[in-house]
Amino acid sequence: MYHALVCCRAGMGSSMMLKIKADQVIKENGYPILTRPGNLKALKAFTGDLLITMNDLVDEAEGDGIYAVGVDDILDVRQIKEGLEAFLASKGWEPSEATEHAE
Amino acid sequence: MQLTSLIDPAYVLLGVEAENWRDAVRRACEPMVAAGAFAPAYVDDIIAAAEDIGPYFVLTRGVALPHGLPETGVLAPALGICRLAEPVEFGSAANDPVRYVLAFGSADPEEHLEALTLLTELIGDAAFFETIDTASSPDPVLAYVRRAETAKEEV
Repeated sequence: MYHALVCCRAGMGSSMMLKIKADQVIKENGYPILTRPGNLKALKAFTGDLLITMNDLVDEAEGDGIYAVGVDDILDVRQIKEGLEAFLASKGWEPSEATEHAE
Repeated sequence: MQLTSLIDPAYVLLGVEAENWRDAVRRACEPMVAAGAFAPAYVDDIIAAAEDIGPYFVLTRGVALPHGLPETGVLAPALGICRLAEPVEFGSAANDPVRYVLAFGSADPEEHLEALTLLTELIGDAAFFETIDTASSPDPVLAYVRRAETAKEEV
């Protein structure tokens, strides 16, 4: 299981909403990713595998050597999906490893 | 806590004239400041942050959800719904221009997970924005949110 921090500057409004959308994509596709919301302070102390954030924070994260998935539009499910799959591919994960999450 | 409990009718502004994005944020926050939900310092924090790192709260096309660090001055959780008379550029390459400014403040977003889940659905709901566009008072907007909330509870 990979651990993702869903981050915005304040760690409240947009990070929670982005987490809600990312979790939908993760659940639908059975990705082995657990998310938690956080703010910039959480990013400074980051120990997970992946950062999911609005695009304006991507440069800051990558400067710290963290794998970051940037999202321009939180409703753009395709962009979130592509970003997460690119991250998983970088870890050698295959889509066939997805587990169906029963409702 | 429900989304409707965060929105007072006074927080719904329809057809606000704004000169630029700073003005739009200030005007959208005015009713919450007047009601004592946001301290003026909270609004200053939102604007200073966006000046520093960019418009991180422009979440989808035409929709901004300005919010800042709660410790700078969220006195009560609140959400405003503001329709600008004319769209304003916020400096978001992907989502400009912004027509709807939904200013938000909460000291404990985990507590508002349900409300934010509904809000995430509403900002992808064209009929919600049609309601805001055609409303001449806060009532139909609040009624729409209340109906969406009730529909969700019944699922």
